[in-house]
Amino acid sequence: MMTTLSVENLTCGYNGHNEPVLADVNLTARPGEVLALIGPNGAGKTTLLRAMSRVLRPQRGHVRLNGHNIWELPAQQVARQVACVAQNTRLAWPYTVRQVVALGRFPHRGWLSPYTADDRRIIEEALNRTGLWAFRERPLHTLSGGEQQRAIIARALAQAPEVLLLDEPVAHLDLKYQVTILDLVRELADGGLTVVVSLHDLNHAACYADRLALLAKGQLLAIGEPAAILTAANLEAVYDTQVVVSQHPLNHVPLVTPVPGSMRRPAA
Amino acid sequence: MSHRRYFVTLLGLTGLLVMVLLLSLGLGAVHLSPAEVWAALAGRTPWGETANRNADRVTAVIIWDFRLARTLLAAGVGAALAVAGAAFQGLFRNPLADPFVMGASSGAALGATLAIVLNLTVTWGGFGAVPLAAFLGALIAVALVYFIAESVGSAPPAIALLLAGTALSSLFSAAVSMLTVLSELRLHEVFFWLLGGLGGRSWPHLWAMLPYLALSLIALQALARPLDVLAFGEEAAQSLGLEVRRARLLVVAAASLATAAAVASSGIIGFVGLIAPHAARLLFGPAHQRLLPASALLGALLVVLADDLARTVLAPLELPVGVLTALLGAPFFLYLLRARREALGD
Repeated sequence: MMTTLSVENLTCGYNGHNEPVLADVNLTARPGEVLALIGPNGAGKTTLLRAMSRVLRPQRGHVRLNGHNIWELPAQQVARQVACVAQNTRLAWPYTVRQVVALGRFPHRGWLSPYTADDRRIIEEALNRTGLWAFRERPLHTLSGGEQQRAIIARALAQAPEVLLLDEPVAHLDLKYQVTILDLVRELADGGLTVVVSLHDLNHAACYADRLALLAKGQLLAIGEPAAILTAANLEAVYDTQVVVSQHPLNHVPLVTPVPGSMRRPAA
Repeated sequence: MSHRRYFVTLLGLTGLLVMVLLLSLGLGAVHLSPAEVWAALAGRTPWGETANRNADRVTAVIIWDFRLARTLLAAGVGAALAVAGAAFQGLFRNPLADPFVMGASSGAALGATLAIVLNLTVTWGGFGAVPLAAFLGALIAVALVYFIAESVGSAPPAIALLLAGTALSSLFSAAVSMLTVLSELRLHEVFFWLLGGLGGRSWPHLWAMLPYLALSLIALQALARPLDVLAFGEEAAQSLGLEVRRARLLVVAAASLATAAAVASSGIIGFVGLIAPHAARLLFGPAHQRLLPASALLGALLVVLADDLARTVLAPLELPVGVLTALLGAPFFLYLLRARREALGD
């Protein structure tokens, strides 16, 4: 189950707009690593994840799953290997947490095959792993934001994927849930999964990712280890904001701190 | 809800429907007790008389030639509309969707009006021109809406379908109004047909709608899991491996076939397809595998009861059953809104 997801000369856009949202992006996500997508709002992070999850058709270029163009594979086959956690999930009806997680088995069972004992074991494992066992019979919408996000991650785990794509999984969550979810993501990658995650918080990216891909205005500016990407020069150019980059006291990855306006050095 | 409780409740509802059907057979100008109804039913089958000859001949004729087919047809129409409503609500992720969101009612109305106004006399398999034209009108309208929406391409597909459905419905309704105004003499006939009713319906109507109903019920039941996946939205459904386009086409086709068959049998009966799925969702939760059969049962119950009232309240005058479903349904719907907000969606 060593699965590589790669992007070749990927250009994506939306109908009626001339400017592509992503232009000529190349990158490869490898098994066992967390690849974090960082960059300002509108950089193209979500578009890249949508293209990688076979939802958005590229205008040019390809997304390849172990070398196969994902648009030449059936949706079901891709979904057996690639799971996706979107930024906002609005469920139309009050399904319970267990029903939501069970739908992660859809790509493996299709329209009609009944769920097997195996499926039930995988569903229970996903509930346990995300700490949702106690919530399993509650309607999803009665849970807090963090719990709902974990339920969608549990659904992705029930897909038993080899690649996990997450779009801002900790946005709007409090400190505890940020850490629990990112710890889980790290653990999954250490277990052999290929993880691509978009993150706003650069320090999250530094702590949890093996490599960072810095995007701005639809272009991939740099890709590499946190220390190589999170430099003051890179960040000030992309975010147009002064930052101080120091070292994390515990794991020595870069620690990014924005500089408040009152403390800014005068422009050169 | 556990499997066991689900099946017990479903069985209970089925028992209730059978009881209501038996009681309904006793209602009318000649009142019959349940025992007389039972004796008449036991005395014959649709294929001829049985050895049991205890039943009175007149009672047997009333039951077999007049009331039974009509009552069963009411149940079938209710089931068809309710299942179509549940399917469209699921497809559009919208609690306000009903069997007519894609223009089936206005298409049927236009077909029926044309047949009435033009005085068409085509018959086929025991059917007059009006139900045939309504059936075709409904299917043509939905097909038009579907192909227009698919060819627009810019809006999200489900929303494009809703918008195209609304636009074409208005267009067809305008055409119906124009035709009725232009042919004053037939105005009453058109108006009465549009309100929906089961008066004078008999076995050929029932036999004609049953295959479509059965086909739609089976097809939609097979689409239960895709409808669940669609509750996450079309993009998430696709990333879960659903071929969304194919699933959407099948849901539209199956639900529209059920709707067209219902409309051809009884005119446009409103509210059942909106309300029965909500009531079923309250009782059994949102998972479509359970929701669809439960909706069918509740829809059947609602239309049978409405038809009972329609032919007894002002007897010998018969009210359009569509008026009764709205009279019964609207207050119940408001109650649901008040009592269980979450069941109508988030």
